[in-house]
Amino acid sequence: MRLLSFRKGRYTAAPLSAIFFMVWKNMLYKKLRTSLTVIGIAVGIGAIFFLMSISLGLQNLVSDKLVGGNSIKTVDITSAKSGIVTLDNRAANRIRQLPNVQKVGVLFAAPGIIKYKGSESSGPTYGVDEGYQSLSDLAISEGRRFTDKDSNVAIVSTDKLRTIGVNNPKDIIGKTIDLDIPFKAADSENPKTLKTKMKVVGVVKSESENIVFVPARVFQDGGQSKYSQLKLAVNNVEDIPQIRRQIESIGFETTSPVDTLDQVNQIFKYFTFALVGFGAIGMIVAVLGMFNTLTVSLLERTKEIGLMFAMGGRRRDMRRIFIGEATLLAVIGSAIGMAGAVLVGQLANILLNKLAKSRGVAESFQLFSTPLWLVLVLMLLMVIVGFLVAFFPSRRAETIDPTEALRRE
Amino acid sequence: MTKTYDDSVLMSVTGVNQVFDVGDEKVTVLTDINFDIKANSFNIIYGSSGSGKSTLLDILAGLKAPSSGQVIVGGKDIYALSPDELAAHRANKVGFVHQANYWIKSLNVLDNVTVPLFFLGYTKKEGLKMAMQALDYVGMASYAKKSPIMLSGGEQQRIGMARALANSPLLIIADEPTGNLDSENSRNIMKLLIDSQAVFRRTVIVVTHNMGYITLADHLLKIEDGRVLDVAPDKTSAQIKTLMNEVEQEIKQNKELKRHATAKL
Repeated sequence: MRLLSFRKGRYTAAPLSAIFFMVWKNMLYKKLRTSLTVIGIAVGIGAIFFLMSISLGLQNLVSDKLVGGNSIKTVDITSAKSGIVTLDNRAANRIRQLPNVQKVGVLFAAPGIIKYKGSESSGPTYGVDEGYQSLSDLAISEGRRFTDKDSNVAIVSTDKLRTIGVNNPKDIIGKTIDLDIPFKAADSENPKTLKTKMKVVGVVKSESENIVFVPARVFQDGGQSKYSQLKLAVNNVEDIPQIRRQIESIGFETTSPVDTLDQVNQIFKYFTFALVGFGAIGMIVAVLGMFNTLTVSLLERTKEIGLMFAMGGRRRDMRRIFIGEATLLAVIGSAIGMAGAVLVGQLANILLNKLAKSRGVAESFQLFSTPLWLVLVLMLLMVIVGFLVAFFPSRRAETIDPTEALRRE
Repeated sequence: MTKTYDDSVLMSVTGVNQVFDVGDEKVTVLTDINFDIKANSFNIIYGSSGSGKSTLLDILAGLKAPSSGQVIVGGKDIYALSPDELAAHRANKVGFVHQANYWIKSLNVLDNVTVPLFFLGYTKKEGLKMAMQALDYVGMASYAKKSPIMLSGGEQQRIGMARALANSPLLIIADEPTGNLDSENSRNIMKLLIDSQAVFRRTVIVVTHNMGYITLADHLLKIEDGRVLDVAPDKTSAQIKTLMNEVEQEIKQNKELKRHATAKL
C-alpha cells in the first residue's frame, strides 16, 4: 500500500490540470454568480464584436461598391490637364516596358449615337481592347466580350438598351445597330463622323450608365491616336506607388482603386473607433462585474485559501487559481458573447436582405463581417483584461496568513 | 552556540518566543520554548485554554513564524527557508488534523483529500487514486462522492485524517482532533493516530484536553502560561502514573467543588 509508505520527497508546482479542475469546480459551485458574470462579459464583448462586425461589413460593402469589379492591382492613366504629353501608342509602349507591369489596356472615348429600329440614343462610346476589358472586369450579362481580332462588333449596357426600347437583353444579341461616332480630326477642329454598322455580341449589366463598347481598332482605323485612358495591372499591390511615381514623372496623371480604398479605410477607422467607444461602456460594466466576482470569491474563500496554504499550497498556486478563474470566465463569456453576436448579425442580415429585396434591390449583401482575426483579437483582449482584473485579488490571496484565515469566523 | 542534532530527533525547538501585537500592546503567548520531538514518537501536548497550545502547533507545522527562536527539522531551521521551500516542507512532511473541519466547499470528499497531493505535483488521476486509498484506510471510501459539509462531525474528522495522511507525511499534527466528537468517534480517531505511529512509524503530535489519552504518550508536554514543561521526555510509566494520580485528584476536587455549589443552591 502506497499510503503511509515512506517515499522520496516530491514537490513541484500543482499541475495546470489540477488548478483548472479546482477553478472549474468552484465556478460550478457558485452557479448563479458565475452565470451572471459570464452574461456580463458576454454582453460586453458581444456588443463590441457586433459593432465591429457592422463596421467591417459596411467597410467591405462600401469598398466593393466603390472599387467595383476593378482589381485592386490596377492603375488608371490619363493625360495631364496641361496636355503637354500625349497618351498615345508610344507612351503606352513605354509604360508597358516599366518593371512589374503585368498588362496594359487602352481606352478611347467619344460621344456616339446609336440607332436601332427607329430608336435613337446618344451617350459615350468607348473603344477598348481585350486588355482593358479584362482589367476592368466587364460584367457581361448576355453574350460575350469581343477580341482584338473582332471588327464591327459592340457591347451595349442594359441602360442603353432601355433607351432604344429593348427590354430583354437576349433580344439584341446578334442584331445589328447603327452607330455614329464623331471623331475629332488631328488637324482640324471639325469632327469627322464615322457612320458604321455594328453587330451586338454582348450586353453589360449597368443600370446607370448609358454606354457602348466597340473594339479599339474602330477608333484607330478612324485616325484616332490619342487614348483617353490606359489601365495597367501590376504584379503586386505593393508595386503600385512606385509605378505611379514613374508614370507621373513622365507627365501623366494616375488614379488607383487603392486611393479610394485608403479614403474609405480612413473614414471607417474613425467610425470603428466611435462604435468601439459605445461598446466599451458595456465592456467596462463586464470588467467591473468580473472584478466584483473575484473579490467576493476571495472574501468567501479566505478560509479555504488558508487551508490550501496549510496543506502545502504555494503563493504561486493561489495566484494561478485566481488568474485561472478570471481567464476561464473571460474565455467562456467572450465565446458566448461572440457566438451570440454572430447569430444576431446573421439574423439581422437575413432580415435586411429580405427588406432590400422587397424594395427592388436585386443584389444580396453581407452587412456583417466576422473575420477570424477579430475573434482572436477580442478573445486575447478579454484574457488580458481577465489577467489585469485578477491581479489585485490574486495578490491579496498570496499574502493571506493561513493561521489567521483558518481561525477567521 | 552549536548544537549537535541526533538522527533520532525529528524536530528540535530552540528558544522559541511568540509575541503578538494587540492594538498598542504586545502580548507574549509563548516564552522560551525548548524541546525535541523524536522520530517515530507519540507526543501529547496538553494545557488549559489560552495557554498557547494552538500557537505552538502552528509554529511546529510551519504555518506561523515565531517572533524568535528556531524550529529545526533535518538540521535546517524551517523558518529560514524561502516561502516556497516552507510550503514544500508542509506539503511533503506535515499532515495537519484540525479541531474544526475545514473544507473546500466546492469539492467532494475525494477531491478534498486529493488537494494536498495536487500541491505535491500529482496529476488529478494520480491524486484521486492515492486519495481513494487514504479514504479506504480510514473506512470512508463509500463517502467519496459526497459533500463533506453534509456529513457528521465524526465522519468529517475521519476524512480530515485521510487528508492528513494522503501525502504520507513524516509528522502528523492534530489539534484537539477529538474535541468535538463523541466517545466512539474519538476512539476511532485516536486509533488512527496511534496506528500511524505504531504501525506506520510516523511521528505524531496531538494537542488534547482529554487527560485519558495521556497514557498513550511517549512524550508529554504540558503548556502553562506560554511556557512548556517537558513533563515526560521518555515513556516512563512512573511519571505517567504520577501524572494520572494528579489528574484524578484534580477531578475529585472539581467534583467536590461542584457538590458544594449544588448543596448551597
